[in-house]
Amino acid sequence: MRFFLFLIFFPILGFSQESFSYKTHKQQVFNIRPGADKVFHYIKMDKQDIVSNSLFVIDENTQKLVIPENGFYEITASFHFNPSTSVIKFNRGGVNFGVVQIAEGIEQYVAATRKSFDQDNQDLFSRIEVYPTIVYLTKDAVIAPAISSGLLGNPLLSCVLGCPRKDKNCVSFSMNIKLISDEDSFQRYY
Amino acid sequence: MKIHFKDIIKILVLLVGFSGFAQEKSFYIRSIRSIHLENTPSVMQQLKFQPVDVVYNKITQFLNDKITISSSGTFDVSAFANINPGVMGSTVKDSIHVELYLVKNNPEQIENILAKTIFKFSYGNFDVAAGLLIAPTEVQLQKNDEISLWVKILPTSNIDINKNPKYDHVTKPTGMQQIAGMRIEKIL
Repeated sequence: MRFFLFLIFFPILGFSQESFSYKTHKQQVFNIRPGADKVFHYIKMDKQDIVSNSLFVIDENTQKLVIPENGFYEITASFHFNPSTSVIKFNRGGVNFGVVQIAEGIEQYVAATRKSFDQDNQDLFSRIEVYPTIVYLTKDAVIAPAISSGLLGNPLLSCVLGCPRKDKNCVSFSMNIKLISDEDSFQRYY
Repeated sequence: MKIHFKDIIKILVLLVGFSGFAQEKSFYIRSIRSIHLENTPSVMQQLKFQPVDVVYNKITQFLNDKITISSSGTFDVSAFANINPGVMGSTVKDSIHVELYLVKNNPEQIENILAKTIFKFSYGNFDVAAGLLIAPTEVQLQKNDEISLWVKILPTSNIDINKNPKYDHVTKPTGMQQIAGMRIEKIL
Protein backbone atom coordinates (compact mmCIF):
# COMPACT_ATOMS: atom_id res chain seq x y z
CA MET A 1 0.00 0.00 0.00
CA ARG A 2 2.80 2.47 0.93
CA PHE A 3 4.64 1.71 -2.28
CA PHE A 4 1.41 2.27 -4.19
CA LEU A 5 1.03 5.70 -2.55
CA PHE A 6 4.66 6.56 -3.33
CA LEU A 7 4.10 5.74 -7.01
CA ILE A 8 1.09 8.06 -7.12
CA PHE A 9 2.67 11.00 -5.31
CA PHE A 10 6.20 10.86 -6.63
CA PRO A 11 5.52 12.65 -9.95
CA ILE A 12 3.29 15.26 -8.26
CA LEU A 13 5.82 16.03 -5.53
CA GLY A 14 8.56 16.07 -8.12
CA PHE A 15 6.67 18.74 -10.08
CA SER A 16 7.27 21.57 -7.64
CA GLN A 17 11.02 21.03 -7.74
CA GLU A 18 11.55 22.10 -11.37
CA SER A 19 13.56 25.29 -11.29
CA PHE A 20 16.73 26.95 -12.59
CA SER A 21 18.96 29.32 -10.65
CA TYR A 22 21.93 31.24 -12.05
CA LYS A 23 24.29 33.71 -10.41
CA THR A 24 27.51 35.28 -11.64
CA HIS A 25 30.10 37.85 -10.54
CA LYS A 26 31.63 38.11 -14.01
CA GLN A 27 31.76 41.31 -16.01
CA GLN A 28 30.48 41.94 -19.54
CA VAL A 29 30.73 45.04 -21.68
CA PHE A 30 28.11 46.28 -24.16
CA ASN A 31 27.75 48.96 -26.81
CA ILE A 32 24.14 50.11 -26.94
CA ARG A 33 23.04 52.46 -29.71
CA PRO A 34 20.07 54.82 -30.13
CA GLY A 35 17.38 53.66 -32.54
CA ALA A 36 18.39 50.02 -32.23
CA ASP A 37 15.60 49.12 -29.85
CA LYS A 38 14.89 45.83 -31.63
CA VAL A 39 18.45 44.62 -31.08
CA PHE A 40 18.79 42.41 -28.02
CA HIS A 41 22.24 42.28 -26.46
CA TYR A 42 22.23 38.81 -24.96
CA ILE A 43 24.10 38.12 -21.76
CA LYS A 44 26.72 35.39 -22.05
CA MET A 45 26.11 32.63 -19.55
CA ASP A 46 28.62 30.16 -18.14
CA LYS A 47 27.60 26.63 -17.05
CA GLN A 48 29.92 27.00 -14.06
CA ASP A 49 27.67 29.78 -12.71
CA ILE A 50 24.53 27.63 -12.58
CA VAL A 51 23.57 27.41 -8.90
CA SER A 52 20.94 24.71 -9.36
CA ASN A 53 18.94 23.23 -12.21
CA SER A 54 16.14 20.71 -12.39
CA LEU A 55 14.26 22.49 -15.18
CA PHE A 56 16.35 22.59 -18.34
CA VAL A 57 18.17 19.79 -20.12
CA ILE A 58 21.79 20.92 -19.94
CA ASP A 59 24.84 18.93 -21.02
CA GLU A 60 28.31 19.78 -22.36
CA ASN A 61 26.86 20.62 -25.81
CA THR A 62 23.98 22.83 -24.61
CA GLN A 63 23.99 26.35 -26.09
CA LYS A 64 20.45 27.47 -25.23
CA LEU A 65 17.93 27.25 -22.40
CA VAL A 66 14.93 25.47 -23.93
CA ILE A 67 11.58 25.39 -22.12
CA PRO A 68 10.87 21.69 -21.48
CA GLU A 69 7.06 21.77 -21.29
CA ASN A 70 4.03 24.03 -21.64
CA GLY A 71 3.20 25.77 -18.39
CA PHE A 72 3.24 28.83 -16.17
CA TYR A 73 6.72 29.95 -15.23
CA GLU A 74 7.82 32.51 -12.67
CA ILE A 75 10.86 34.53 -13.73
CA THR A 76 13.08 36.87 -11.71
CA ALA A 77 16.34 38.54 -12.69
CA SER A 78 18.78 41.08 -11.32
CA PHE A 79 21.29 43.22 -13.23
CA HIS A 80 24.13 45.33 -11.81
CA PHE A 81 24.77 47.85 -14.55
CA ASN A 82 26.81 50.99 -15.12
CA PRO A 83 26.15 53.09 -18.27
CA SER A 84 29.74 54.35 -17.85
CA THR A 85 29.05 57.58 -19.68
CA SER A 86 28.85 61.33 -19.30
CA VAL A 87 26.57 61.91 -22.29
CA ILE A 88 23.19 61.17 -20.64
CA LYS A 89 23.31 64.52 -18.81
CA PHE A 90 20.10 66.29 -19.84
CA ASN A 91 19.49 63.74 -22.59
CA ARG A 92 17.55 60.52 -22.90
CA GLY A 93 18.84 57.46 -21.06
CA GLY A 94 16.22 54.71 -21.29
CA VAL A 95 17.56 51.13 -21.22
CA ASN A 96 15.63 47.85 -21.06
CA PHE A 97 16.67 44.82 -18.97
CA GLY A 98 14.92 41.48 -18.96
CA VAL A 99 14.41 37.93 -20.11
CA VAL A 100 13.63 37.32 -23.76
CA GLN A 101 11.61 34.51 -25.27
CA ILE A 102 12.63 33.35 -28.73
CA ALA A 103 9.75 31.35 -30.19
CA GLU A 104 8.42 30.96 -33.73
CA GLY A 105 11.04 33.43 -34.96
CA ILE A 106 9.93 36.23 -32.64
CA GLU A 107 12.18 37.73 -29.98
CA GLN A 108 10.40 39.58 -27.19
CA TYR A 109 10.81 40.33 -23.51
CA VAL A 110 8.52 38.11 -21.42
CA ALA A 111 9.71 39.77 -18.21
CA ALA A 112 11.44 43.14 -18.25
CA THR A 113 12.21 46.34 -16.39
CA ARG A 114 12.73 49.81 -17.88
CA LYS A 115 15.50 51.83 -16.26
CA SER A 116 15.85 55.50 -17.10
CA PHE A 117 19.29 56.81 -16.25
CA ASP A 118 19.96 60.51 -15.75
CA GLN A 119 22.83 62.79 -14.83
CA ASP A 120 22.86 61.44 -11.26
CA ASN A 121 23.50 57.78 -12.06
CA GLN A 122 24.99 57.82 -15.59
CA ASP A 123 28.44 56.87 -14.26
CA LEU A 124 27.49 54.65 -11.33
CA PHE A 125 26.45 51.05 -10.85
CA SER A 126 22.70 50.65 -10.36
CA ARG A 127 20.83 47.52 -9.29
CA ILE A 128 18.03 46.79 -11.77
CA GLU A 129 15.52 44.15 -10.67
CA VAL A 130 13.01 42.21 -12.70
CA TYR A 131 10.65 41.26 -9.88
CA PRO A 132 8.74 37.93 -10.03
CA THR A 133 6.82 37.79 -13.28
CA ILE A 134 4.48 34.94 -14.17
CA VAL A 135 4.17 34.02 -17.85
CA TYR A 136 2.81 31.12 -19.85
CA LEU A 137 5.55 29.61 -21.99
CA THR A 138 5.30 26.85 -24.52
CA LYS A 139 7.55 23.84 -24.98
CA ASP A 140 10.69 24.47 -27.06
CA ALA A 141 10.69 28.26 -26.56
CA VAL A 142 14.24 29.52 -25.96
CA ILE A 143 14.80 31.76 -22.96
CA ALA A 144 17.70 34.20 -22.67
CA PRO A 145 18.56 37.27 -20.55
CA ALA A 146 19.22 40.48 -22.47
CA ILE A 147 19.77 44.23 -22.40
CA SER A 148 18.49 46.56 -25.11
CA SER A 149 18.38 50.19 -26.08
CA GLY A 150 15.15 51.81 -24.98
CA LEU A 151 15.13 55.47 -25.87
CA LEU A 152 18.64 56.89 -25.95
CA GLY A 153 19.95 60.30 -26.98
CA ASN A 154 23.51 59.07 -27.43
CA PRO A 155 25.22 55.70 -27.78
CA LEU A 156 26.33 54.01 -24.58
CA LEU A 157 29.79 52.70 -25.42
CA SER A 158 31.54 50.23 -23.13
CA CYS A 159 28.74 50.18 -20.57
CA VAL A 160 29.26 47.48 -17.98
CA LEU A 161 27.25 44.65 -16.49
CA GLY A 162 29.51 43.93 -13.55
CA CYS A 163 30.71 44.92 -10.13
CA PRO A 164 33.15 47.38 -8.58
CA ARG A 165 36.57 45.71 -8.20
CA LYS A 166 36.65 45.88 -4.42
CA ASP A 167 33.20 44.37 -3.90
CA LYS A 168 33.78 40.62 -3.74
CA ASN A 169 30.19 39.75 -2.74
CA CYS A 170 28.50 41.67 -5.54
CA VAL A 171 26.43 39.71 -8.07
CA SER A 172 26.60 41.19 -11.57
CA PHE A 173 23.72 39.13 -12.92
CA SER A 174 21.30 36.53 -11.57
CA MET A 175 18.22 34.81 -12.95
CA ASN A 176 15.70 32.33 -11.54
CA ILE A 177 13.06 30.45 -13.49
CA LYS A 178 10.53 28.14 -11.84
CA LEU A 179 7.75 26.05 -13.33
CA ILE A 180 4.75 26.82 -11.10
CA SER A 181 1.95 25.04 -12.95
CA ASP A 182 1.72 22.70 -15.92
CA GLU A 183 -1.95 23.38 -16.68
CA ASP A 184 -2.87 24.24 -20.26
CA SER A 185 -3.31 27.88 -21.18
CA PHE A 186 -2.38 30.50 -23.76
CA GLN A 187 -0.70 33.89 -23.56
CA ARG A 188 -0.29 36.10 -26.59
CA TYR A 189 0.85 39.34 -24.92
CA TYR A 190 3.46 39.86 -22.21
CA MET B 1 -2.37 -6.54 -0.32
CA LYS B 2 -6.07 -5.85 -0.54
CA ILE B 3 -7.09 -2.22 -1.03
CA HIS B 4 -10.29 -1.27 0.77
CA PHE B 5 -12.83 1.34 -0.29
CA LYS B 6 -11.70 3.54 2.65
CA ASP B 7 -8.13 3.52 1.34
CA ILE B 8 -9.29 4.64 -2.08
CA ILE B 9 -11.16 7.57 -0.49
CA LYS B 10 -8.03 8.48 1.52
CA ILE B 11 -5.94 8.41 -1.64
CA LEU B 12 -8.42 10.64 -3.46
CA VAL B 13 -8.48 13.15 -0.58
CA LEU B 14 -4.67 13.21 -0.46
CA LEU B 15 -4.45 13.57 -4.23
CA VAL B 16 -6.69 16.62 -4.18
CA GLY B 17 -4.55 18.05 -1.36
CA PHE B 18 -1.28 17.44 -3.16
CA SER B 19 -2.54 18.80 -6.47
CA GLY B 20 -3.19 22.03 -4.57
CA PHE B 21 0.51 22.18 -3.70
CA ALA B 22 1.45 21.46 -7.27
CA GLN B 23 0.13 24.84 -8.34
CA GLU B 24 1.68 27.88 -6.76
CA LYS B 25 -0.76 30.01 -4.79
CA SER B 26 -0.22 33.18 -6.75
CA PHE B 27 -1.96 35.86 -8.76
CA TYR B 28 -0.40 37.76 -11.65
CA ILE B 29 -2.02 40.43 -13.78
CA ARG B 30 -0.62 42.86 -16.37
CA SER B 31 -2.29 45.47 -18.48
CA ILE B 32 -2.21 44.84 -22.22
CA ARG B 33 -3.35 48.38 -23.00
CA SER B 34 -1.82 51.74 -22.20
CA ILE B 35 -3.51 53.99 -19.63
CA HIS B 36 -4.16 57.76 -19.62
CA LEU B 37 -3.41 59.88 -16.55
CA GLU B 38 -5.02 63.23 -15.76
CA ASN B 39 -2.86 66.24 -14.95
CA THR B 40 -4.28 66.49 -11.43
CA PRO B 41 -1.49 66.70 -8.85
CA SER B 42 -2.27 65.25 -5.39
CA VAL B 43 -5.18 63.18 -6.72
CA MET B 44 -5.02 59.38 -6.57
CA GLN B 45 -5.60 57.82 -10.01
CA GLN B 46 -6.28 54.09 -10.30
CA LEU B 47 -4.54 51.92 -12.87
CA LYS B 48 -7.44 49.63 -13.71
CA PHE B 49 -7.11 46.10 -14.99
CA GLN B 50 -9.59 44.03 -16.98
CA PRO B 51 -10.39 40.30 -16.91
CA VAL B 52 -8.35 39.71 -20.09
CA ASP B 53 -5.26 41.01 -18.25
CA VAL B 54 -5.19 38.10 -15.79
CA VAL B 55 -2.29 35.72 -16.46
CA TYR B 56 -2.51 33.42 -13.45
CA ASN B 57 -4.96 33.32 -10.57
CA LYS B 58 -5.22 30.80 -7.73
CA ILE B 59 -5.83 33.10 -4.76
CA THR B 60 -8.14 35.99 -5.69
CA GLN B 61 -11.52 36.72 -7.18
CA PHE B 62 -11.63 39.15 -10.07
CA LEU B 63 -15.17 40.46 -10.50
CA ASN B 64 -16.31 43.84 -11.88
CA ASP B 65 -12.68 44.95 -12.28
CA LYS B 66 -12.04 44.33 -8.57
CA ILE B 67 -9.34 42.00 -7.25
CA THR B 68 -10.33 40.53 -3.88
CA ILE B 69 -8.38 38.13 -1.69
CA SER B 70 -10.07 34.72 -1.34
CA SER B 71 -8.67 33.74 2.08
CA SER B 72 -6.79 35.52 4.89
CA GLY B 73 -3.07 35.07 5.37
CA THR B 74 0.45 36.37 4.77
CA PHE B 75 1.17 37.53 1.23
CA ASP B 76 4.09 38.78 -0.83
CA VAL B 77 3.01 41.66 -3.09
CA SER B 78 4.85 43.57 -5.82
CA ALA B 79 3.99 45.73 -8.81
CA PHE B 80 5.31 47.94 -11.59
CA ALA B 81 4.16 50.65 -13.98
CA ASN B 82 6.09 52.14 -16.88
CA ILE B 83 5.30 55.86 -17.03
CA ASN B 84 6.18 58.52 -19.60
CA PRO B 85 5.02 62.09 -18.75
CA GLY B 86 5.09 62.93 -22.47
CA VAL B 87 6.44 66.46 -22.24
CA MET B 88 9.84 67.99 -22.91
CA GLY B 89 10.37 70.59 -20.17
CA SER B 90 12.27 73.78 -20.81
CA THR B 91 14.83 74.27 -18.05
CA VAL B 92 17.12 72.06 -15.94
CA LYS B 93 15.09 73.03 -12.87
CA ASP B 94 11.93 71.38 -14.20
CA SER B 95 10.83 68.15 -12.56
CA ILE B 96 7.85 65.82 -12.30
CA HIS B 97 7.45 63.61 -9.23
CA VAL B 98 5.22 60.54 -9.48
CA GLU B 99 4.36 57.94 -6.85
CA LEU B 100 3.01 54.43 -7.42
CA TYR B 101 0.97 52.77 -4.66
CA LEU B 102 -0.16 49.23 -3.98
CA VAL B 103 -3.29 49.56 -1.86
CA LYS B 104 -5.83 47.46 0.01
CA ASN B 105 -9.43 48.70 0.12
CA ASN B 106 -9.89 52.51 0.42
CA PRO B 107 -6.82 54.29 -1.05
CA GLU B 108 -7.53 57.52 0.85
CA GLN B 109 -6.58 55.94 4.20
CA ILE B 110 -2.80 55.97 4.71
CA GLU B 111 -2.82 52.72 6.69
CA ASN B 112 -4.20 50.94 3.61
CA ILE B 113 -1.10 51.65 1.51
CA LEU B 114 0.74 48.33 1.40
CA ALA B 115 3.80 49.66 -0.45
CA LYS B 116 4.83 52.59 -2.60
CA THR B 117 7.65 53.94 -4.74
CA ILE B 118 8.57 57.36 -6.15
CA PHE B 119 10.24 58.45 -9.39
CA LYS B 120 11.49 61.95 -10.10
CA PHE B 121 11.57 62.80 -13.80
CA SER B 122 14.18 65.42 -14.56
CA TYR B 123 15.04 67.61 -17.52
CA GLY B 124 16.08 65.56 -20.56
CA ASN B 125 14.15 62.49 -19.42
CA PHE B 126 10.55 63.73 -19.41
CA ASP B 127 9.71 62.04 -22.70
CA VAL B 128 11.32 58.72 -21.78
CA ALA B 129 9.39 55.99 -20.00
CA ALA B 130 10.68 55.08 -16.55
CA GLY B 131 9.89 51.91 -14.65
CA LEU B 132 8.28 52.54 -11.26
CA LEU B 133 8.77 49.34 -9.29
CA ILE B 134 7.30 48.24 -5.97
CA ALA B 135 9.67 45.65 -4.52
CA PRO B 136 8.21 42.43 -3.09
CA THR B 137 6.75 43.26 0.31
CA GLU B 138 5.29 40.91 2.93
CA VAL B 139 1.82 41.94 4.13
CA GLN B 140 -1.10 40.54 6.11
CA LEU B 141 -4.37 40.48 4.18
CA GLN B 142 -7.89 39.45 5.18
CA LYS B 143 -10.46 37.60 3.12
CA ASN B 144 -12.31 40.03 0.79
CA ASP B 145 -9.58 42.72 0.99
CA GLU B 146 -9.58 44.53 -2.36
CA ILE B 147 -6.13 45.07 -3.89
CA SER B 148 -5.48 47.87 -6.39
CA LEU B 149 -2.72 49.93 -8.02
CA TRP B 150 -2.71 53.74 -7.97
CA VAL B 151 -0.63 56.65 -9.25
CA LYS B 152 -0.33 60.16 -7.84
CA ILE B 153 1.47 63.13 -9.38
CA LEU B 154 3.01 64.91 -6.41
CA PRO B 155 2.46 68.65 -5.85
CA THR B 156 6.26 69.08 -5.73
CA SER B 157 6.21 68.73 -9.55
CA ASN B 158 6.74 72.10 -11.22
CA ILE B 159 5.58 71.35 -14.77
CA ASP B 160 2.48 69.63 -16.16
CA ILE B 161 2.36 66.17 -17.66
CA ASN B 162 1.07 65.91 -21.25
CA LYS B 163 -2.54 67.11 -21.13
CA ASN B 164 -3.63 65.70 -24.50
CA PRO B 165 -6.66 63.48 -23.65
CA LYS B 166 -5.49 60.98 -26.29
CA TYR B 167 -2.03 60.59 -24.75
CA ASP B 168 -1.49 57.52 -22.56
CA HIS B 169 1.19 58.03 -19.90
CA VAL B 170 1.32 54.46 -18.57
CA THR B 171 2.65 52.82 -21.66
CA LYS B 172 4.98 50.40 -23.44
CA PRO B 173 8.49 51.85 -23.24
CA THR B 174 10.37 51.85 -26.55
CA GLY B 175 11.71 48.33 -27.11
CA MET B 176 9.55 46.40 -24.65
CA GLN B 177 5.91 45.33 -24.34
CA GLN B 178 5.39 45.57 -20.60
CA ILE B 179 3.01 48.36 -19.40
CA ALA B 180 1.96 47.73 -15.79
CA GLY B 181 1.53 44.65 -13.63
CA MET B 182 0.93 43.25 -10.19
CA ARG B 183 1.81 40.01 -8.40
CA ILE B 184 0.36 38.57 -5.20
CA GLU B 185 1.71 35.36 -3.68
CA LYS B 186 0.25 33.64 -0.65
CA ILE B 187 3.09 32.65 1.65
CA LEU B 188 1.15 31.39 4.70
